[in-house]
Amino acid sequence: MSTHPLVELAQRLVPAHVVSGDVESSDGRLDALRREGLREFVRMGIPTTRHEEWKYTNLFPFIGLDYSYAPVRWSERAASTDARTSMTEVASALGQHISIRIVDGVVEANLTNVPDGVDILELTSDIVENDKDVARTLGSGAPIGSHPFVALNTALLESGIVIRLRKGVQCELPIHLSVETTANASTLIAPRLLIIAEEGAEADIIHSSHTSGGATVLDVTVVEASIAATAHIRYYKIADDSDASRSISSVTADVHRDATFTSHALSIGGRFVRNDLAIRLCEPSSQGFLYGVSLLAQSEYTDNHTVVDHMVPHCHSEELYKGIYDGSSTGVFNGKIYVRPQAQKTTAYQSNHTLLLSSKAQVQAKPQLEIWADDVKCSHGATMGQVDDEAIFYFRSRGIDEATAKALLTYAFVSEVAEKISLEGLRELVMRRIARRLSAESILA
Amino acid sequence: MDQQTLLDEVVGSEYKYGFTSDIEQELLPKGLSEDVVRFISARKNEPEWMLEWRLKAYQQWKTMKEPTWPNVDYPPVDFQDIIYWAAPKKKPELSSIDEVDPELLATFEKLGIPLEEQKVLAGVAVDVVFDSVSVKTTFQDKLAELGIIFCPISEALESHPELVRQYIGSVVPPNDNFYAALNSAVFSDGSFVYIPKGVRCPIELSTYFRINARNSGQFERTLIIADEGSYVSYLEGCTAPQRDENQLHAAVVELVAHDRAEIKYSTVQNWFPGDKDGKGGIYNFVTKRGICAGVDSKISWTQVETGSAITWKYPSVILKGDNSIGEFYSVAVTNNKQQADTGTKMIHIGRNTRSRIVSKGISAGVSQNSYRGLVKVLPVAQGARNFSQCDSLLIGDACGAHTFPYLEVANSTATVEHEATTSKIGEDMLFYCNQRGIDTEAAVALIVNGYAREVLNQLPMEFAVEAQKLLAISLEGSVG
Repeated sequence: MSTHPLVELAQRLVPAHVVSGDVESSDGRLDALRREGLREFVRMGIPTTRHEEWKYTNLFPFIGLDYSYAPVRWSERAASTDARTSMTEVASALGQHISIRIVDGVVEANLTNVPDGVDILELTSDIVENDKDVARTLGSGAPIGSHPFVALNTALLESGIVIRLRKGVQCELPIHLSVETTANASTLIAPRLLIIAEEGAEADIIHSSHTSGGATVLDVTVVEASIAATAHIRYYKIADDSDASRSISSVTADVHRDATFTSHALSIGGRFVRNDLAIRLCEPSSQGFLYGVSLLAQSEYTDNHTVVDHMVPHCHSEELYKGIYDGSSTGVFNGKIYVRPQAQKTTAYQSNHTLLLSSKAQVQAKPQLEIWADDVKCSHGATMGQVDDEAIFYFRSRGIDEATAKALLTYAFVSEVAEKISLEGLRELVMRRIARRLSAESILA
Repeated sequence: MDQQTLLDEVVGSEYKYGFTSDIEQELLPKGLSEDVVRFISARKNEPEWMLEWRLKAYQQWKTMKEPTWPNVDYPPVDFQDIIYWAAPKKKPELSSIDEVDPELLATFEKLGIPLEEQKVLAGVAVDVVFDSVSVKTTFQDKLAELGIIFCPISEALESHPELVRQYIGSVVPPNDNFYAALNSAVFSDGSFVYIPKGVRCPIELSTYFRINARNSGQFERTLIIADEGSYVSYLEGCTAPQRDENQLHAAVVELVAHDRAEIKYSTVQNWFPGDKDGKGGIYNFVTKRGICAGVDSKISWTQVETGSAITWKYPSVILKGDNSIGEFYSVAVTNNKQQADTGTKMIHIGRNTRSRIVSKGISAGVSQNSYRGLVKVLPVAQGARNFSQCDSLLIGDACGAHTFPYLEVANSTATVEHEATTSKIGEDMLFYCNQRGIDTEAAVALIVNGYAREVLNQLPMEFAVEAQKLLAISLEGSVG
């Protein structure tokens, strides 16, 4: 069997001294990690739909393209102004915020307004060697051995971004990471983000991607978060991108005592979005909240894979994903609640609801419970259907036409999740975008 | 009583049906080859096409691999270490039940379902599969008057070859999966039912499987055809004596319901689950599938699974006819080291098809209980409707309950609902019972029975009583 072009690309990009490094102690930890990433990527190769975790994910139409790689590098130059419109929209919705942009691979961080106690650093081999928090977090959560694209990202890991919140720091400005790529030829980017929240820290981190140009951009992102005791991190992943983007991301979070990690997967546009999210509740009283909205049209595809791992007793998780699928779009939800034998007194709830608006739209759902402890309360619910005829009749009997009634009901259906967004500006933007997507702006204005 | 004492007590209650009947048997040497397939076919005087069908299945089986995706864990089966043919040497050709070998009758007495009693009291026609050969079929003449065919499949091959040929493998093709292919090659016997147009079968048809000979795999094949506007209720019960080595059971059940026909298929399975260390016990790898081929047809599966070391079965319905209905009601109980991976598949093809899934899992001891199900709505299935409810009850802190539902919907007019819960018996419920003078053990039995009632209610009367007793025996003493 011939080697897949993407595997070949990775093999070409990883320098010889990294590949050949003999014992792990003789070279840097970063190199050792890259070597492991490459080895695992070559071993696993490109997953096909015969692979259970990729059963509904068809990578075939774009994975074999001839990609050129845009490595992530830090630059000293001032932030450029030619921002994509979609990016500006997010930025202005956030108001005052800390901005980190990756423009065609080049990191442009505007660090002038970063408050004390918030560190935004370049991920270098130096910092990996010398900073024990970074060393501990990097590669600790990301499933290098089981997710081919996490392995790919790791193999290509030369530089990345570290966001560290010092003990007790409540970062009032939201932190916005925007990945902007212009592609005239098929481009691969592989950003890596580390979030380290020390005890009692709190922050909102928004991650959006913006693609322009006619060629395909394959964005393979890995985020690893370590949330120390009593810290609270809210992470928003916004996919509201052009048809050129193909996004595969993996987010993992380790949550410690009394801490919370909240994730919002907001997919309002984008030809191909695959989000893997794994939350590990590793100390008692930690909590995970997982929210998702997928609004798809045409031939768009969004695939949310989530795992909540209850490792210890007395943890709580809540998950709510909603999807509205129009055109010939496909939405996938694969959510797992995993309760380990010792994790007694767990409460874990998961629900997934879908509206199908068109006869060609499809949904695939696999809500799973794997429970190994007995004193738990776990449930999941999944529904798929259409707007309730009786509800529409109710509107019509009050003189509201059918199109308006449908738009209102659909809007209300997803609003439940969007309303969980605690940043007001962002929430309004998302609601506005949803309304626009449903062609219901005028009605809802 | 503390938990350990109670658990010990459960372990103490040994398998009630663990005895062996010393009936002279004819055994083929261990192992599977083309010759074995030819032997079985020849032994049963099968027509040429049947032999070819078997051989083709055998060839396909050889190219297939054992599935490894179920959430169960067991040492690999050596398919060459199994006896593929075991039959009582003197096949009784009797016209009345009284002429049956008394030893055999005694076996049934021990099972607690004497044929006479069933015959007289329950009015049930029983097709007994004792190891591999159907021994006696009761009420056959009575059924024949209505045009109903209820006989061993080997007999049907002689008397109604055209029917068998038309339907066998039409729902579960020989190459469907590893165990279906194996069964297609070596099936020794099973039941055949044909209900003619417009006939409502007046009695519940029943078969009782029992695995007896050491190391013999049991491969029965059941084929039920309900022609236009007919109705049949079919009961299947299973037991196996206590043996040290694991025994393989790979059956295939095919149901075909034509226009406006209804088939109700009920199973109570209490095969030997292995002892407390997980030694012995039956491997139950079964393919059960029905097709609602005609309009307004209905297939309903009800199962109470309390036995087997490993259960791996997914009774499914293909809803092809418009307005057809598929139902699946299941109670699966696992205790000690039992493992169950069971569920259903509902494939919606016709318009306005409906399906309902109610699955109740109960895990105790160190057992693992998984629900795995698929609801698939094809683009052509306008107005499909599904409701699934999968609940798991955990008793003791060392067992596991897992849910793997797959929902695939490709039609926007479909409404699919799935819900699942996992919990243990609430302290508050037990307390409520205790303070009214019901001891904890009785309270657990009460709660479990209430929990499973929705499914037990679907069982025909005689089975419901047996199933309730089985639930009580399986869970005796395991207070969470």
